[in-house]
Amino acid sequence: MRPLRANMLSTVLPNALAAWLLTEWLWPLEAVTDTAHIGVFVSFVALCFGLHLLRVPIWLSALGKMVYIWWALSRLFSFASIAALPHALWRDSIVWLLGDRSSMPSDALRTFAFFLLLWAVSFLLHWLIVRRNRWFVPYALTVGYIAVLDTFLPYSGNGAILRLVALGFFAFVWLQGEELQAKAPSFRIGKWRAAALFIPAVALAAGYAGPKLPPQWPDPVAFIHSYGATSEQESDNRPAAGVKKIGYGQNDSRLGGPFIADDTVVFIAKDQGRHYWRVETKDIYTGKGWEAFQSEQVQSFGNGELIRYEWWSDKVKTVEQTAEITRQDQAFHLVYPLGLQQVQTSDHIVYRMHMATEKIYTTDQNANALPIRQYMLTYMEPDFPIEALRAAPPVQDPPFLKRYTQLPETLPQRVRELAKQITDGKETVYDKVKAIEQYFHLNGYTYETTDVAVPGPGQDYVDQFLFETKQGYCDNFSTSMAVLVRTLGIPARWVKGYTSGRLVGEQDGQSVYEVRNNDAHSWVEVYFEGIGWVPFEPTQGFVNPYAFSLAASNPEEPEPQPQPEERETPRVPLDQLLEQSSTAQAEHWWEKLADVWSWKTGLTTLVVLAVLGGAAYATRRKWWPRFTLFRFRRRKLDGAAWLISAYGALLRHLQDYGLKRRPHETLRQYAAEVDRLFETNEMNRLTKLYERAVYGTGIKEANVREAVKLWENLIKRTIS
Amino acid sequence: MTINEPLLSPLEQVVRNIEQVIVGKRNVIVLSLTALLAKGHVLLEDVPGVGKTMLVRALAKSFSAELKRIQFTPDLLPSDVIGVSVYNPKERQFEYKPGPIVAHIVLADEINRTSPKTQSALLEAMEEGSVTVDGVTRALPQPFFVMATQNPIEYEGTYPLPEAQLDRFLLKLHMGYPSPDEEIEMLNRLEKTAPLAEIGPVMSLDELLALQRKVADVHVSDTVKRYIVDLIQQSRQHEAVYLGVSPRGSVALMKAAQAYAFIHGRDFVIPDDVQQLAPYVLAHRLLVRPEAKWDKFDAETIIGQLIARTPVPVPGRR
Repeated sequence: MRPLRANMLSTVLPNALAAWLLTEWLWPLEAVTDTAHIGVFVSFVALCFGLHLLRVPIWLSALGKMVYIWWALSRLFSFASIAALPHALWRDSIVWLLGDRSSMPSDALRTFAFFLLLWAVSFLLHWLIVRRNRWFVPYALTVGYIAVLDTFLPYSGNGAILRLVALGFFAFVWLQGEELQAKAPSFRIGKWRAAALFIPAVALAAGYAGPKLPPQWPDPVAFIHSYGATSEQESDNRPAAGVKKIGYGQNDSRLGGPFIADDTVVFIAKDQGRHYWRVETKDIYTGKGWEAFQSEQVQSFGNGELIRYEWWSDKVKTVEQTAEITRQDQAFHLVYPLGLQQVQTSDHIVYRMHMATEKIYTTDQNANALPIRQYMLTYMEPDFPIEALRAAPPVQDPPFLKRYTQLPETLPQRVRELAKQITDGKETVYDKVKAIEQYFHLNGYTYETTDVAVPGPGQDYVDQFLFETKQGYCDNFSTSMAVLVRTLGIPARWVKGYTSGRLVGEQDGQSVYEVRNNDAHSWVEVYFEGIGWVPFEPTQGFVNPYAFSLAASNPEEPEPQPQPEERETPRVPLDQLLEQSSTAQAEHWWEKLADVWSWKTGLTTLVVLAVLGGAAYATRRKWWPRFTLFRFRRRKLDGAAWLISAYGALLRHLQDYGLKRRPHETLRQYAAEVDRLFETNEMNRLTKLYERAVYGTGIKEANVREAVKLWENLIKRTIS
Repeated sequence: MTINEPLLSPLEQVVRNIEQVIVGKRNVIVLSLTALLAKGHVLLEDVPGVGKTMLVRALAKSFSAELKRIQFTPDLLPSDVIGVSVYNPKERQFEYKPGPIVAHIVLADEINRTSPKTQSALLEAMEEGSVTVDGVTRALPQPFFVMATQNPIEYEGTYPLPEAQLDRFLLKLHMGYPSPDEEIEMLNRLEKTAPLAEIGPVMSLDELLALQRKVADVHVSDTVKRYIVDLIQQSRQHEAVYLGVSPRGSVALMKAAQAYAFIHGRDFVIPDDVQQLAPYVLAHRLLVRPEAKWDKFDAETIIGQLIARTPVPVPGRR
């Protein structure tokens, strides 16, 4: 039994160590990039090495990995259906490969590519470490990688270095033992290994437990940090180590950290009402921040065109209002009020509303971004009937619920418990939501912009705010509320934009507001069945600008508001609404190609091409010699050159026919074989003429004619 | 395995003539003619009694050439081979008495039985085509063809030829035993008559000399030259070879191939000629490592491997 055990150990162990080495590359990614869900990738590495270990047939192994990638991507990016994933990947790759490569490919495509990279690297490491027993290069690279990250980036590699040192010693002892055993078969490898491992283990433990001096040298890379501090403008994507400047940013995948005030005016609004200005919504909470849902659905509309978008059901009373926005900077998207109906501007602009985020981009006819400065808005100002909200039943639609109650698995349990505790005794959805909104006002949470913490590795942003720091700004409050509401199975999303700003005067019966970077804000929208998305304002010191009225009207009574005909479903039909418009609105040829060629068409084309190619290859003996005949009949060369070239082609055909000339065989020996098979002497005769042309001093015209005949006969023989 | 090609008709007659005496050794006869046409010499290595002498005598008779035979013994002196100067009292001067080497065809029997001194006198004459006695150099008659025989060197009482002298021979041939059928045929022929006495000349010496001159015109293309050199280069890299074939070996292989192509009625050399001749031209020109001999590696096996390792160049293949 012993050799078997030793053998198993010696196959499992290198695999495990190689997988371990690769995962050491993954862990820091969470801290230094905006990559989340590292566990998914680590599991993939484990899967790869597990399949190597089990010696699964290569097709099965590839299939397993593909299924895992498919599953992981579908889960990570919350695709509506399994089939949506290949479509999205296909489209993204086509658009990115054929189109604008200066922009980043979509997250899903990048993640997919990352999976493929891990696949390749795990294969390489398996080959290098398990098959070839070459440890040094991968190990040295890993140590270098950790050291660089630890030195230059806000990542603490203490644990990783400790693990790597242990792994290095272990691998060293393992390999050395095998070498010693190979030299002397009687070598007692088990005991030697135990002894050899004991020493580094003691050293490591002592080093870990012992007291340590602070660093004796000043940090050699301090200037890099100070350089980083001056280029704050571009640092939107940086991990939350630095100080943020407030304002509207794209990336919310890492929230937290202090910001400094910025009084720059962003836009001036002339408006009849007072409300928040929306920019976009996000609905994937990662534990560190928010990600946008991945969807390609776009609704385009022109100047003065009515937006085909159902904001609420007719239970919500609305009043039509107008507003005028004058941007003070260049912007390629709109700020707009809830209930937007149409947009008017002097330029020929196409508005492209991304359905996943409800962000409206301004572009020209060819989907090139165009800046917009001044525009008129028509919108419906809502008045939410509290009675109807209270009467709203819980949402039942599973895909919708899945999307808007998504929470990371890492969310601590105490957050869920807190939500239950807050809503204890509340019956209706509305009351529960209201209780959570109020919770922050009553429990000592304070508004704070400078002393705001960043969640550490493995720490949840919401959990930290709710239980530990209890101070923060709008992002803290709104995210926490959205998460708390979601834990109860109530759909909620996170909205970004601006508050109504500062009233600076009146003009033409309208109020004039200045909206500054300081007014950037985030809040929460909760979905009520039969009503729609309703905004809530959890942030301490802010008041919800929207009207909620108690029993002012009978919810059964239809409103006199003019309703467009096509409004039939009260809920925003995000997923189904405008698939046709997204296909109709592709402006670049590659986008058109990506639309016309769905992944199914693309795959079918590839399969058809592969089948045609395979068929052509399989039947090549039928058509390829005919082609050669045709080709050489047409060729006008002097006799010897023709013969030399044609004879070469004949040799290739014969080889394809299965008559392979071994390199050391002379042509006569080969010709004898060929003639034996075809029961003829034509090859021998042709070969003699060829020899005369090649080794001799040339052949006569009559000989060439004979050669042509012999050659054609032989080529025809290869067809039959 | 030989080239499946008819011989040039006058040479075919010579071969048929000799075949009346020697049964079933067409290949050896053709190869001997090859050496003769290439102006080279042949070393026949075999046990006694397989017909070496018969072959040479039949060859000489076919051309009505003068044949002399030197039986090498340990006490043979160089002067016994190349001749001596003798004082003629009547003329009162030294007179050259030619030795047995002065002939068109010389049969040097058992050359490994004589002392190295005498061996080298013979080999020098073969190389130079002339003999020097008392400071006077005398040209040997044309054509001049030596066919030496030696017993396999394992036998007692022999002086093995040094390598440098071995490669003076263009080809080294084995007669080998005849097959049973061939031996019966031989007995039938010898039962009543002596075939050697019955054959006559089929070609004059002048015709032979003319053919020898034509051999030099046989075309050797660059492709074939490259093939010869590749083969020779391989012999220098083979793991069982202690000393590879010298450049003199390349020249010998080309010359022999020219003659071989000529015999087969071609005016150009093909790789088949080279492959056919390589064992006979190269085997005595390379030194096999002693340890390789234990693994039954002899020169012939090695040459078979060299051929198998060297690709035949085929022009016109892209």
